[in-house]
Amino acid sequence: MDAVLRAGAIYLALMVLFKISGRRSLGELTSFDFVLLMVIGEATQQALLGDDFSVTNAILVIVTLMVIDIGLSLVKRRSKRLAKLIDGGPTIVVENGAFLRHRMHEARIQEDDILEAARIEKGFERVEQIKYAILERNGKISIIPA
Amino acid sequence: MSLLEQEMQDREHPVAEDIALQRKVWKFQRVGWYVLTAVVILTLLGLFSRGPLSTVEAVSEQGDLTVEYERFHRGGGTNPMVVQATGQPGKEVTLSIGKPMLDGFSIESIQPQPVSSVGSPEGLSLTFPTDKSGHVTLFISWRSNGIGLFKSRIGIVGGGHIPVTQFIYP
Repeated sequence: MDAVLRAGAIYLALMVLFKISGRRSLGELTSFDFVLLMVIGEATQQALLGDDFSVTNAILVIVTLMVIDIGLSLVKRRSKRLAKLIDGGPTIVVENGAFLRHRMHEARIQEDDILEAARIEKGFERVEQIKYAILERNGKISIIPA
Repeated sequence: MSLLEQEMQDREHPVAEDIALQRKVWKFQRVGWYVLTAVVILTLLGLFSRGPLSTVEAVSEQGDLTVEYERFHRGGGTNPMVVQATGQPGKEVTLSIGKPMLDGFSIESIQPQPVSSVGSPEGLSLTFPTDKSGHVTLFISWRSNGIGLFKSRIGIVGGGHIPVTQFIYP
C-alpha cells in the first residue's frame, strides 16, 4: 500500500515544484541543469523506495508512477482547461515588431531572450523584423517573421 | 483602455490564448517562490526537526529530571535524547517511559545499559545505578516508526516527570 502512497505523494510534490520553478527550467537544459536534475532524482529515490529495496517494491513504484502519468494525460485530453492549467498555453510576447512588456515581465523573460531566439532561429537583428514571438508551452520562443 | 489591459487581452491569431489563466499560473509561480523560501527558512529554524524550534530541554518541577529531546521527527530518522536524573547517592533510580513514545519510536541504542527493565501496558521501566552524587545521565537514540502526534511522558518512579510531546512527519 505504501508504495502507491509514496509514488503518488512524490509525483504530486514534483509536479507542484516544477510548476513553481516555471517552464523555462526545462526549456533550455544546460549541463548544470542536467546535474541539478540528477541530484533531484537522487534525493527522490530514497523517499520513493523507503527501506524496502525489493524488486517488487521497485516495480510497484514504477507502475504507480506510470498509471498516474497515463491517467493524467487521459484526463488532460478530456478537459482542455486542466491541460492548460498543467501544461500552460502559448503566450505572444512580440506583436508586429513591438515587445509586450507587461507579459514579458510576468513571464520572467527579457528582451535579450527573445532577440537571442530570433538570431538563432531566423538570423534576425532587430525586433522590427519579428511579426510574432511566442513563448511556447515547452519554454522555447518561436519566431514568426514580419 | 490602459496599455496593460490592452496587452492582456486574449489574441486569437496566431495562437489562441487564455491570458487570464496564464496570469494565474504566473501569479502561482510568484507566490510559490515565496512559499519555497519560507520552507527553507523554517527548515533552518527547525520546523522539520533539528533546530531552535525543535530542540527542547525540559526540567521537571522538582528539578530532579532533565530531558533534552526533539519536538519534530521524520519517519525512519534517528534522533538523540539525553536524560539526566537525580536520585539517592549510591542507590538505583528507576525511569519510566510512557507507552505512546514506544508506539511511535523504537530504541535504537541506549547508553548506559539498564540494570533491569520491566515492560507493562503503561510503558517501560528502566533501572540504573547512580554515581556518588546520585546522578545518572542516559543517552538514548530513538528511531521514528510512526506518523503523527505522540503525547507521552518520562518520569522517575517516586519523583518528578516531564510530559513529552513529539510529532513525526511522514
